[in-house]
Amino acid sequence: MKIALKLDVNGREHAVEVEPRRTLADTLREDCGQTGTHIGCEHGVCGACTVLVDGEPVRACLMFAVQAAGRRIRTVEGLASREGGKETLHPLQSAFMEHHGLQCGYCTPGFLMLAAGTLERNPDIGDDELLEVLSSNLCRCTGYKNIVKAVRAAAARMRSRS
Amino acid sequence: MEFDDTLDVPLPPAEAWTLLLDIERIATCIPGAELTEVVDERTYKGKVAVRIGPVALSLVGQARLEEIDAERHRVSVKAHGSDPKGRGSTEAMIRFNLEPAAGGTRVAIHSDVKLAGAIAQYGRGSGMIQSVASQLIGQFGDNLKARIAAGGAGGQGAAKPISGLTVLGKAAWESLGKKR
Amino acid sequence: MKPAPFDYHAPKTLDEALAMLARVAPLEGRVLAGGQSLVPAMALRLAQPAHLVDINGVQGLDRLERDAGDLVIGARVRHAAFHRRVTDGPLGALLAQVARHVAHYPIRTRGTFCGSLANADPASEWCVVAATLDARMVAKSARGTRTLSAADFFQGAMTTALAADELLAEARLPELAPDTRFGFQEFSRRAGDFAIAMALATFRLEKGVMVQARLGVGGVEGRPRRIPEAESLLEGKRPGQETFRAAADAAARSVAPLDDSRYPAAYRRDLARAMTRRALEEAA
Repeated sequence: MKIALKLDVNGREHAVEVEPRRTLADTLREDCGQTGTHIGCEHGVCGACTVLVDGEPVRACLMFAVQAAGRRIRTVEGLASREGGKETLHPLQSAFMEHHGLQCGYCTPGFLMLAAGTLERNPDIGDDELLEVLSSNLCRCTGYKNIVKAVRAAAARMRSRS
Repeated sequence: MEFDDTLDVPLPPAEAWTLLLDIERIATCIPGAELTEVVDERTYKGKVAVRIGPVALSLVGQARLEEIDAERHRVSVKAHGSDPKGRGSTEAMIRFNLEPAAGGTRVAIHSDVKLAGAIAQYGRGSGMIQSVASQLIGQFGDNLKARIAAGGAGGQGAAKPISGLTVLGKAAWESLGKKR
Repeated sequence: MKPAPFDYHAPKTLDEALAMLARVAPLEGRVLAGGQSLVPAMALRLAQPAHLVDINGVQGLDRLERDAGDLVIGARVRHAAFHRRVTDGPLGALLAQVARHVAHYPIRTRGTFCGSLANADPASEWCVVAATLDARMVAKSARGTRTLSAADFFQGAMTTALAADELLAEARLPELAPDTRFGFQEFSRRAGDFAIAMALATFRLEKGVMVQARLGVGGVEGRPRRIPEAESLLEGKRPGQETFRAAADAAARSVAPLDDSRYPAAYRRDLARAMTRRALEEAA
């Protein structure tokens, strides 16, 4: 039996009708058309599905869409800023490109949202803690070093801006 | 994996032995168990409900009494069962050894259990199986004691068969035991 | 894989939640709190509850405060709440240290302290903390309220004394004396992996000797517990290598470790010894 919901995704309202068992990850992809959030393991281990719910990193495959009604959901599609018809990449996105922090790109949205949520809440995060947080997600391609480099670079840039 | 448990039965060994071999009766003491078919006097088909947290498995299969030593009060049971929803299966070889003890009989249970399928792979179930099994044995023991206390077993022992099959089975088992 | 279908209930008050639980518990109904253990099991279809009672919207379950000498932790309190010290004394510091071992950061934003206790996974950090500190668990149902000691609450792997229609509404951790020393050690293959063995040691020093010693081991057996054989070797003794080694050996002898092909019993026993010794050294 489906339930009608309104989801706030990147500031836009999406009206959907989903079964309770439909995860937030599937709903974002299939019902809201936002396929940036990727599904890797579907049981909460890999972190590819990481999105921000009320500013906090959450594994979208472990949350049911019905639980996300009334929350502010941010996905990778909402990272870049759009002002005056111009799109500017988020410092994390630029850093991942500059520092080759992705190869196949499958884990990337998860890492971007994890890092974005972490740095926004804690811009002065220590390196040890940053590494601990980044250890939450899995990547098969890069060996992690360039991901860490990219996040460190973005963190520095984000700190110097504010 | 292999592990050991004990069970105390408030009956003298000879009576405890008879009771424990009365599969049809003691099956009702196993939590969540149901006997569906008696294939022969040694082989029983049925199902057992096993719960590991939120995972409620129903293992459907068969148990067969392999070695029965009526003199030394030892029996081994070979059992296998699988989850109808395809989440896994189990194979077990369980040896029961009855010894006299204060208060009646102490049953030493040695289990060798193998788990396969999703429940073993994803549920980290293989490490926990002995904890689950111990709990099952504990509950079985409690149910058995309650049954005995309610007067539903023992006391009459060999003299009063529960069913025709049991009489036949018992006779066959005694004779087998003496052959060793 | 996708979870099997279920009926979803989202009560707003505790009474509603308990009434719903009373109705659906006999029909394979379960509580949904953080979902960080339940939902993976559902995704793999190992768990197939027919009903879920989502308590995330229930008023009054988010208590995190001192009350009559206890730290009260409500059912909705997330693991992440403990990242910062929730009390001034050693208890807050202990919980903050242990919190970093619980899964990973994004799991901690959703998963709950009480959910971890109710799930009773042998590898749970909060369970060994609750068992070692003799926490009290407050279980509520439509039939009433009862308080359980940790020793009674944890019955085995993934099994607690909670009835199917009971909600673990709050956990009460006794406040530790201001001069309490503690050490917590966990062994896992990689950071964030399930713990294979954990030890929590707490004691105070009076005139140079250890008093009120507590030593709890988790991950090694089906359920976490205090090891009296080890505690008795610490009580009244000065902290030191030999004493710690003896206590660690006693802990290793006392445990009946879980056994599987990846982590055999002998290995877990060794780890119990090592984690106990390290936890004691850390506390000293």
